[in-house]
Amino acid sequence: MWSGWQSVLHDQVESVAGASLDIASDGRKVKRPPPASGGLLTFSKGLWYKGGALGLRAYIVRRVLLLIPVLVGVTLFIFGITMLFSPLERATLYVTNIRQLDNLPAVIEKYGLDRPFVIQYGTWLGQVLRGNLGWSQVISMRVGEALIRSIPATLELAIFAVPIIILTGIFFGTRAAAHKDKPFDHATRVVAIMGWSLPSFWLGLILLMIFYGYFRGLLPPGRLSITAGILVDSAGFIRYTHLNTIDAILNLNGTVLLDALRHLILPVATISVINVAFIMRLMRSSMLESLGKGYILTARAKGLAERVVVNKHARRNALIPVITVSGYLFAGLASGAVITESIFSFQGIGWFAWQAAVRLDIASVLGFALFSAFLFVIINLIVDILYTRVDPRVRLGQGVQ
Amino acid sequence: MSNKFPKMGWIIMVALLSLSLAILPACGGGGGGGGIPYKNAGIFVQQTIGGVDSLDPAWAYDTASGEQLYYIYEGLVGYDGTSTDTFVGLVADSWSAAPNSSQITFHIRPGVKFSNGDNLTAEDVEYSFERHLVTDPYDGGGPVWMLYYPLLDVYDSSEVTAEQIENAVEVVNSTYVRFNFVRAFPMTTFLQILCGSWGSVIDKDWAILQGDWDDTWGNWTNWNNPAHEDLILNDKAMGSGPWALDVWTPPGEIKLVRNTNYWKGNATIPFDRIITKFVQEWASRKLALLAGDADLVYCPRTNMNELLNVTGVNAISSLPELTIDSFFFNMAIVSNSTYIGSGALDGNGIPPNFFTDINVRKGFSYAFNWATYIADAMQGEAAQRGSPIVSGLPYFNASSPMYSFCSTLATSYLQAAWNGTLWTNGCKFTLIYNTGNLVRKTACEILANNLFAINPKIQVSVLAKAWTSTLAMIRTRTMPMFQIGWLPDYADPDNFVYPFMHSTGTFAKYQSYNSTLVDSLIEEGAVSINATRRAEIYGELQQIYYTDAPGIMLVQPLGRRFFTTYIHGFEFNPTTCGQAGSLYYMTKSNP
Repeated sequence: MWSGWQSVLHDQVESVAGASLDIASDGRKVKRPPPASGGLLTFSKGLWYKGGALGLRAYIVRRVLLLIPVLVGVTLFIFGITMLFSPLERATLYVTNIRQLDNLPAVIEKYGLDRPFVIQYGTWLGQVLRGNLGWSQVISMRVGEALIRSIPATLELAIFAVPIIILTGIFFGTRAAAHKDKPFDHATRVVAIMGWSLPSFWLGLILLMIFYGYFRGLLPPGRLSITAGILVDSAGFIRYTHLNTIDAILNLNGTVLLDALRHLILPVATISVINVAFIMRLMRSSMLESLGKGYILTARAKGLAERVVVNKHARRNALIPVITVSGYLFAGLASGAVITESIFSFQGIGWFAWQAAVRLDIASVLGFALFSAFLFVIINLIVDILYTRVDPRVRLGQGVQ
Repeated sequence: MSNKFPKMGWIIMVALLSLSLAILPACGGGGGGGGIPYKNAGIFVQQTIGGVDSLDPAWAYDTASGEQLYYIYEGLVGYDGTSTDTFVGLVADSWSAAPNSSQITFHIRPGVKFSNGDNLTAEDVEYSFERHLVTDPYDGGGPVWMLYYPLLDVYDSSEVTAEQIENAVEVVNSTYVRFNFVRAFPMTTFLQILCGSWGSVIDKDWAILQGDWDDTWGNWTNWNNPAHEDLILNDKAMGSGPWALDVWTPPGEIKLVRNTNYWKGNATIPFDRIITKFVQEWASRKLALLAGDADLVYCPRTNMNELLNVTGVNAISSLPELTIDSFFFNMAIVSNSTYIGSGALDGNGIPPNFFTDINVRKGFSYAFNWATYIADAMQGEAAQRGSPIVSGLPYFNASSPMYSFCSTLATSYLQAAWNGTLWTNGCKFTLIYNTGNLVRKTACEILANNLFAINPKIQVSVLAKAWTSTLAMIRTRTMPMFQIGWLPDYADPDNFVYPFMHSTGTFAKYQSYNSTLVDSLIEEGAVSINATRRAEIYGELQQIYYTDAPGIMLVQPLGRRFFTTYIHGFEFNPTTCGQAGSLYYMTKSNP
């Protein structure tokens, strides 16, 4: 869905690009109001044009309200799937001991597992609205608390991995496009294909075997070593965010910071290698498209340095699809990198969701679905707003002049 | 076009590569050679699977939770070293049973303190047991039935009164606590029960302060049969054991610290900390052991060879675990089961009562090849057993009869089954194992292949199902045969024969095995205080299991432990939860 929508946006931006920009001899862009009609105008009217800050606020409110049908739809769908299991099968989820088989009818009655779908869903929804997402059998705590506990590990991974993925992808993608069919382009292509083809579980295990096994403990799995863990648990260390690196900085604790970074290298590398390849290829193709546009020819004809043409004029337009994908990449990673988290004992959201699914822990699966859907909608919104930063012609609240 | 960009890109790529090549050897820690580095002095670190379910002694019924409770809490008594039927005093320093075995009185050891410094008194002991009886989460399948059974001759609190609970445990005076049974009960069995985590003594004042049962009887049912989420002590603990709870971060790890108030003396505690990490990925656990980041790891049976003959790894083998896996014949399969084909003995299915014919059961028993199973599925580390009473239990008879693979005898019994119809028409049905359990899958395949080899008309297909589905199908009696294992609660034969052989036992009930003689023997043996009579009863039950063949008893596994060589003093007691054993008697040092 997103790719089609994004490509329309991209085409529309491109359709007015040449007309809306003048290129000064020093390479600076001179903004000129866009025409009163055209692709961007249509887009702007549809999405942004309400005038002033109120337009942005109204837009955000509308998008946030969209969350409600999305969340209901997602949870209805997942709840519906779990109903395919018999009440007895769902009751066995509560069995921690084989002796409990006799109690299954009582469990079914206690949790209403044999009631009609609508009543069961309604009961669950009522609980959620009261702030109770249910009990997680996987982590032995309330689902809300389990999610909150799992988020920092995943978020820390995403925070480190996403900038690396995006910046590296943009850098190498830009240069590959700028030197199409040259050795550098071929080299990045090979690297991209290799990176994209590597199964993450294989890459993770290999990295672990080399950097933890062969180099005996150099880059360990987990989030902290034993000694750093003890430091973090001590009374003198305040857990502001539960992100180890951030907390270490806020506590001015270099030992914990270095240790946390040491533990982040392998999982971040595993995630990055695979995703950089995708961003690199996307950026390359987007850049090639931009470099073929008329305004680039104009810029070159005016004698601008190639660095300015590529970095300032071509790359800016080429970034739009990358921003879209990056948003989803972040949402994807923040809602869990299942395999990476499992291999590196980074027990975050992905690990939690995997365990919940394997054990048919319905409350946890639904809680994860709510979190994930919420995250995607919010990040989608942020990406839309980010467009305005990439292209000066798209300004929230300014509308069309 | 300028050549500046490719140069930059190349420079970065080459620089990254060079940096990696330069840094890694410099940081290298031995390049895979040499032994395991000595790390984390004074800390015992283990990596295992699963996770702690609860720290409430009235709820915890899994080995991961039980192990942590064992370090944090102490009961009145504990097992004496590796023994499973002799005891040493812990919170109690002496005890005496009434001559008719209907009471037992414990003298509470003076000077015992909880880890918060509170004195442990007889009132704490009384409160703890009454609190466990009051809490009894019977819908959640908790362990408190083991206290109810000897004390009140019931299995849960659903129909007991406050008065009954109050009378079951009483403070005699400031240093004595007495347990009153409704009828005579074997004292060794009761002491074995008290050794479990459900016998933990908790700090009364602290528990009440946390919001737990307030030791009054007016509204005790408010605390009875709670859901997991309503447990007050689910994530808290205050015991008098050698270690105290530091941090529990489910599902990843639990950290304990030295209890500086320990009654045997602070200096006697060998580790400042015990850290248990729950790591599901085997490769990570193995590498942690080899890197010295773990002192003990859980190793799946299929991966055991990877840690044999590794420098720095102490592989302790041939540990007779008190567990047993078995096939159970379902003698009353539901008629609409999809796993019995046509539902008739017409060559395309089996009738629901297929296994009521003793010839079928014996024929199948002779068709199973234990040698292949032990070699292929158990890596050669298991011993065949003929009944639920396994080695390590009192009254185990090593010479009791067992089946062995014999195609001639199998043929003979199968020919006689169902008056020859089975042999002539053949049959089809499905054997189910829980997904991912390769050991059980192997057992199914061995039986199916051997039966097919004996008579190609006997066709058994093997199917994997999710664990939850498997449990549900045992309950609904859908499976023709089911395969499951048993972990004991305490090391008494009753804890084994009851689920396997009593008509209301956990397994026997769902396979519809019903024998009046067996039931009466089990019921008599459970409460008999005459050791000679118990020996007779359990000897007879072992013989009956062979004669009746209600299932194919598989093997008693021989366990292994994989420590680093820095850990010393491991002693194996099969009743101890977890892999580590009694850490209080172990040490860690770099020789």
